Amino acid sequence: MIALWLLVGALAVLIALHGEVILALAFAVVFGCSNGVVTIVRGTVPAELFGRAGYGVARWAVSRRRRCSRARSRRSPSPLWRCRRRRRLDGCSCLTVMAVLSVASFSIAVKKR
Amino acid sequence: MGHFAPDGTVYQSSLSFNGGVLAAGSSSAILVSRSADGGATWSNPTDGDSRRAEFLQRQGLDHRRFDRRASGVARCGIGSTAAITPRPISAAPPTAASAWEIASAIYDPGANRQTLNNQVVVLPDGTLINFFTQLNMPPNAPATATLAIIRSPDKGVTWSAPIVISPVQSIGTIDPQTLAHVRDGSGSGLDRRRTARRASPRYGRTRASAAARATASPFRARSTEDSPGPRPFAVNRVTSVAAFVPAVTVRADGTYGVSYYDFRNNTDDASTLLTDYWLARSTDGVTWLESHIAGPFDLADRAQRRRPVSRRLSGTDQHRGGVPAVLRTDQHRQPRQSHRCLLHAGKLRRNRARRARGRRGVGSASACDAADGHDAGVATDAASECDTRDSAAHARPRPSGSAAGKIAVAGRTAATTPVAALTSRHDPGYPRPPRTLARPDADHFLGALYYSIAVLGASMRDELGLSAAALFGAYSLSLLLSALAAPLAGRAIDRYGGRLVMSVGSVTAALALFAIAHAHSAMTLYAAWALAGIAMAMTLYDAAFATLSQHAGTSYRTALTALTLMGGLASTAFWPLSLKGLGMARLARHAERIRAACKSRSAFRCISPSCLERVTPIVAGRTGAEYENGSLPPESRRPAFIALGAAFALNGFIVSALTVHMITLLQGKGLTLESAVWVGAFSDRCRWRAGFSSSPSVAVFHCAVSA
Repeated sequence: MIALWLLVGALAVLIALHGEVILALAFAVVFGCSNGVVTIVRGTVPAELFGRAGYGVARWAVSRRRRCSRARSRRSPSPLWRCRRRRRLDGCSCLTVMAVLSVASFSIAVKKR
Repeated sequence: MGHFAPDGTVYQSSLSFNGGVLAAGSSSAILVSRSADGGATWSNPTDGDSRRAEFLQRQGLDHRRFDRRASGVARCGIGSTAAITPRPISAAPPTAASAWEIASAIYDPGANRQTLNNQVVVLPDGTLINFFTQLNMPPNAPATATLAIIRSPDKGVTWSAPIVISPVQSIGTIDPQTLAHVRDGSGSGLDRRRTARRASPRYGRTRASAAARATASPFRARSTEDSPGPRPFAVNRVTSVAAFVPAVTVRADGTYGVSYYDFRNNTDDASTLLTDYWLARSTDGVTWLESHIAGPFDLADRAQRRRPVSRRLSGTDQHRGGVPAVLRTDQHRQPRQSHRCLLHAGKLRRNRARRARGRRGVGSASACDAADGHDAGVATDAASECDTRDSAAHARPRPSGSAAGKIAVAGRTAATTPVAALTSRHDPGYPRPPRTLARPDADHFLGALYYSIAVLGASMRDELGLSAAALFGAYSLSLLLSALAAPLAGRAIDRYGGRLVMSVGSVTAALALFAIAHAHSAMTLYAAWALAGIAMAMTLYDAAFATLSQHAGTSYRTALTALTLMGGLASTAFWPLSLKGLGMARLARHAERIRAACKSRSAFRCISPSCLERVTPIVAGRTGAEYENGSLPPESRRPAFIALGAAFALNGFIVSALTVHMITLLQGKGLTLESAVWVGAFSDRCRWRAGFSSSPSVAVFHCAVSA
């Protein structure tokens, strides 16, 4: 949960960034931490919740969604950045909203206990 | 300089000296050699103007001045006889030495004046136009320069009085370290340093106003034609450094090509001035694809400094449809501020004198009408750039006219081969064209299956001529395929064990990377990435996690954290490695060396999956069935699964978007490429540390495993 909030924080820093290397490093720290913890969470939480019988399939079922969304994201951020230029819509803000959504979704999953 | 005849023959001409350059007792001549096989072999030089040397001696004039004035004359004879005229002036075919006309004077600018940068162009109706820069150098007064043309309706027999186009409005290029002017040809021989010193208190203002004039006038011109002029676009990708000596051309299919030099790879070392030669291509004039043609070479090299960067001023050729492109370079006051190459594509102006107008930005002379149906070749520019290095000519090359379709902007090989041909013949010291760039750039994908595309995407795109969407599309395809293959891989891990699946995956990954390295077309690239996607499904985190869950038993969490630590190192190591490799590849001249480097790198990659396996503690004899059940009651599993999937999917989207686009994004936020890469790598190091701090016991575990 903290890790997912960290991602929101990282994006907030990124929005504030305007060429300052220190802020960029701060972004890197927060983003990196979030990323690292999420990687571990990704590995452990499904096992905790669903048990480890047939873990290979369960793992992949979860990660398939993630992978598909990643595949889409390769292309989609480019329109996002472009939007930002043309319509003054901030691509980073879009990502931040998505990060908040991901936190919400995760909390639902965990609370079902 | 080089020229392309309509039949594809390449002509190379130079003003050559026997003995010292313009010294007493030396003789000079315009020598011409030709190549009928695209520059592979060359004829012996023939004397295009045999009487010239004798003539110079007999006149006893100021050789230097006379030479400049007369050189255009001599070349006019050469150019119109054979090199670019579709209809030769002389009756004899321009194949033998006897075909060269004896040079005759066509224009005498008068005392204290001279011309240079003479460029002859043949209009479709046979009219010859000689474009030149006239230098007026009155004693005790600042020198001035004007652009002018003379016309000959009768194929060179008689010539009109000069038609003045404009004063030279160039701003010049400045060495960012020493602030010395670079001899980029923009001043057309005007000693800018002298001018600058003389006018030093007002110098800044002078330059600014020149820039303002250059910026404003095209818009003014267009507004009188009551059509909204096209917006200028930045052509060069790096606008923080000066781009100079731009040459623009339009191919018959409407592709624009702009070649230019810039200092983006220059270092802080004031004794060197590293310069690269670039080509930007565009089909719509809006999106530009930049590729590297040559360099970096040291412009501050003493031997080279004596010669101008490029004698070749750009010529704008128009294709049959008549869309000329006018190139301007826009510079700001401070040398370190942004400089832009701007391209205007506009409609033909009716006034022919204005059509032939040279708008001089930094060394650009957009120029005259090329012979109908001739494509201009950037190759010609490259060839001219190269061959002037070995001649002591003070002459200027002409606008390029090339064999239709043969030498074209988009043809990378065609664009570089003549350079190689001329180089190998005349100047072994000149940097050879980096023909092998495609290979090393692709090979750096071996550095990391997953991370390097963020760093190398741009150069991949350039080398393969793909759009960003196409390249990242290939990557997306591989991710999609890995998602599709994921359940199969998961089932296989459950059934056969992670060890076997991951081993097979590693071999597949190595094969895929090898294929990516050798992909030279979009199709092969997509196929290779598809294979890589399948390999990813079998080797990356998720497979490793599943394998760990089988083997690690109760210490599963610890093992998983350890794996994440190792994984975190992947991009920390490979992003900067890719960048360094890229720089090395550009500097490396020999394909063998690069190939050797690639081999070591592919070996590196092959090692890394086996590293993952080393982290995996092998505990034999356990199966998935033995493990504990989850904490969730069966009825609430499905909604939890969906919510968890959504959370991870959103997270994956964001992380992936940021990972892949981080370098570009940070650059967009004002960071340099170098610092962006280090920030990116740093973020991964943080991920490593995050994993570390979450479980201190992991360190001990990790040591135990690696030992």
